[in-house]
Amino acid sequence: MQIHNHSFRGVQAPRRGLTIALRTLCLAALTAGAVSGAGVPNARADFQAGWVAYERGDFLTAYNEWQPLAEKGETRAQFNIGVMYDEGKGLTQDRSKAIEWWTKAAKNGDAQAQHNLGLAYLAGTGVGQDYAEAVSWLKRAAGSGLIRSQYALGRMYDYGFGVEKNEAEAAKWIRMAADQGFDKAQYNMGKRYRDGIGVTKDKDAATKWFMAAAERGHVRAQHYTGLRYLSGDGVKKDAIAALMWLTLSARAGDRAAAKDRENLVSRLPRADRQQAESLADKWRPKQASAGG
Amino acid sequence: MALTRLLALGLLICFAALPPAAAAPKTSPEEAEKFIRALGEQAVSVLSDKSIPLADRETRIRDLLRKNFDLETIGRFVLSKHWRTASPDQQSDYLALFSEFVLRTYARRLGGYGNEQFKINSAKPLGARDAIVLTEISRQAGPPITAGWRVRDSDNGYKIVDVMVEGVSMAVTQRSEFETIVRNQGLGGLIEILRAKVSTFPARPS
Repeated sequence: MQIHNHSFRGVQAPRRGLTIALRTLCLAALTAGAVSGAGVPNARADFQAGWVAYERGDFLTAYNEWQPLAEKGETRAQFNIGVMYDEGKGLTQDRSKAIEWWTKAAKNGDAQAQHNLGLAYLAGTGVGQDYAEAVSWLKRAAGSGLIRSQYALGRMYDYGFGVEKNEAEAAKWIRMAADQGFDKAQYNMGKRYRDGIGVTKDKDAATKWFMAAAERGHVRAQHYTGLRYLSGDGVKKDAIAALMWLTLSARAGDRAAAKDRENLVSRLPRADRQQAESLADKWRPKQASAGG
Repeated sequence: MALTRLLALGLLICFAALPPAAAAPKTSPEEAEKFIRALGEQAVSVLSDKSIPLADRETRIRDLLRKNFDLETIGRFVLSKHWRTASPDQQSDYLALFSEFVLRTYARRLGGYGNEQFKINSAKPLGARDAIVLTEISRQAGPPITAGWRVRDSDNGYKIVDVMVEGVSMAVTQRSEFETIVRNQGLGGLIEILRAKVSTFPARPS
């Protein structure tokens, strides 16, 4: 194991004298977490002490606290060490080691480990891509009520990855996540009702779900919600509300929303524009669900 | 040595990548350098404050990167010809997930780091429109890492449109990886893989 725990002196730029003491701008990121120095396990391992160190960025201490616990079978320590390997956090990135630790935790019933493991099989990170294995772990995590896993499992049914394609079954799982406030699932339900994917087409229901996701800060859903206030699909026409949603989406970087916003701005009186801007300034997202 | 050769090769690839728009303004290397320096200084101030919880440092780095990377330009370039054949929903799903993937990868790896030192070696024009700012990060173990930041003066101000590490263009590398995935598993497969990569749970306190 290698730990990244050193500080370096700056080097003078030869020509411009532009030495910038930059604690890592992207480079640590791009070089996949190089680290050095071996850790000596402490006699007394303590999960909380490990967490405090982890939060500080002292990954050597975190690892030393968690590793003995993980070896003894403590699932949350196994899970966290898996994350450290997966993200190259303090350790040289090694996704196959992440899989090993997550598998232990998953077999011990840890739902988040089951979820991460399922996604690793889906993406083929650290392990050979295996859709059936992905579905099997996601089902276990989704069955424990993890919202993100319900959503991910729904997508597998949509595509027929590792299971027989079944859009109604997909809608069932994604609705479960949407009902619990997961914005991505709500947006997905909006599209399903708009296009009739695994559900019967229903403009009003589409608008309802797009609005629910928009209220939680989903940028694309904010764009669609703005358009629906303009067209009056599933909601009473309201140009000021339309402009507010298009403004929020545009501010968050949605270029298509920015174009639609410009078109609308040119047609609205100044007072309406100001009111919409002011509403957008005051707007705050509804508490998003933890995503489970 | 090999490193220099790699850098040269990377620069060549970079020339080929991201073709400029015909009437677009040129990016001033001096301004690009100022832009990268300012970004670096902001990153330092976030990363050096260890009183902020790790997850919050990551979020701040992420916001900083989101503001300074032109993720839509990079995302479209990386998807290459498949962008044009994608449905509007696929395009928006892909762009959202690709942006999330880039930001999450960098922010999570960066959040816990600190203490390396960074200097700007040079800034020069690149292609017809961009500038490249070459930087060097000193490390205790091993040779310094060279990184190039391809900067474009866009409608929304200066933005990073590619990163070159040890002479290799991240955008070009990613494009070839994505091409393989789309060929074997379709665009839907790529979208779900990106979704999987951005949907894992982080470490937790209990």
